Amino acid sequence: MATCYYSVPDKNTSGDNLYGSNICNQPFINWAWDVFGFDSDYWQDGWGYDDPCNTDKPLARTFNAMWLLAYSAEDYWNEDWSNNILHWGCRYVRNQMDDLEAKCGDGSANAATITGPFTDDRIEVYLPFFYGLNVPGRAGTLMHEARHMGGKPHNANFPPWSAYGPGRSGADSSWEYNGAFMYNALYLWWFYADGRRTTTALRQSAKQRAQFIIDNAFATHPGIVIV
Amino acid sequence: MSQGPNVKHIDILNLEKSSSKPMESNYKLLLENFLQAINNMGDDSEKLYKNALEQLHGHVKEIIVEIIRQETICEQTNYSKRWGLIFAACELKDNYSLPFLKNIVLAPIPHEQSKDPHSLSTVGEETIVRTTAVDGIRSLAELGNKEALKSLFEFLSIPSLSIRRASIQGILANRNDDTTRKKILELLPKDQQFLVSLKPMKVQDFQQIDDPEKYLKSRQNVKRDIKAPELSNKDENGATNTNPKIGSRGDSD
Repeated sequence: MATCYYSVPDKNTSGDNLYGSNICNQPFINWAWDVFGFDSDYWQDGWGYDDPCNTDKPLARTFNAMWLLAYSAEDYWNEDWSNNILHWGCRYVRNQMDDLEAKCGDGSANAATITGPFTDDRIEVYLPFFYGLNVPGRAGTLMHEARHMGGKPHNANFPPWSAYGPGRSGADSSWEYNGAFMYNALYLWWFYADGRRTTTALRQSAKQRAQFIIDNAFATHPGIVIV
Repeated sequence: MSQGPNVKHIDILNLEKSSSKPMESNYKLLLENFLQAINNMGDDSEKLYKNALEQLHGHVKEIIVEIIRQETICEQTNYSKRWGLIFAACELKDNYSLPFLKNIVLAPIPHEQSKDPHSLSTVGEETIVRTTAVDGIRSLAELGNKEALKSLFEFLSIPSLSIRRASIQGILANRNDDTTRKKILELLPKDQQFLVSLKPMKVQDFQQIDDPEKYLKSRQNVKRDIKAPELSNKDENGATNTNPKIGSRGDSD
């Protein structure tokens, strides 16, 4: 067991003030808690179990990302798999989630997916996920980890130009590999292109993050720029 | 992805006291209002955002001074706030912001602080801040600012693929001819010359995920395949929620 400390960065600029007012709704909280695989043991002791509307705390910040996943399509109730990822992304994430656990981490990762034989398959989310990423960034991370949970590991090293570290492992070979970075970037790209109930600014933020992934996370550059 | 033992390691989290200070000036208030409006949500979100931006336009020089002041004192790792401040300067679309945006782009990117950059990259966050500033300078170039266009060429010497990519897109948006392309190529390292040939792409025209259902770990989890509740300010009993709790209808585990 680890004990960690956190300070709350400006909630206006992370989006947690405004998204927070939307998650503070009993039907939404009932739904999100039920369908995203939260393991209650890991959300007590300061993580927000007893205070789910308090966006100082990790649980409410996680709910904010789930709110974005749930309601960013114009017709958010249409989650048909034949539609685009802005529509079915939320459905995909909640179907993939097994145990979702909040942990301190060591400050070097936002999240991790842990699977394998004789292992309790789970997704762990760490302090930088809650306090370092804005709300679209957290939603993209959930897409990323959900793809790992679906059994798709990274399969390549980062290219020589990559900001993630040239030659390091953890890249996807290509866009066509359909890996975690592709899911992450594609969701953010659609949020930029057609996200609703949000602002031009947050959509631009998603565009910048998606293009950064496109530029740096694939061993073979996908060859495109977002317009 | 990694493997781990089937053991529960439950962590405890405690809150550190905040050091935030009260508002200091009207310009700071206007800027804070804009930074908050960035994250508005709901059907009126864009309208509220535009209103907040409009209020900044009435005091461009003072607001840019306030942006610079806040960016200077902002914690380096508070990327959300730094991004918001730089985006505010971009949205003003005023030549007065050029030196600030240029300084942001030209500032050396600090070394990676993360041991696992694939999950969390400080270089990545710093790069995103800078490509946002490059796009702001591109907007100024499109408005006819020659110094802004010159800056975009200058950025091609920065050893960051994303900054180069954003700069090239900015240059080509202003001057897309053979001479310009040739000049760009001369300024790029050989292994990054493909940046000149990147295709501008709309998301609906690019490769999507066909039949995502087949990629689920196990075909649909019935318990999880429940749609989000309808958007509403009311709960199931028709009342506004003031104090929702986990487990009022039972936990998931």
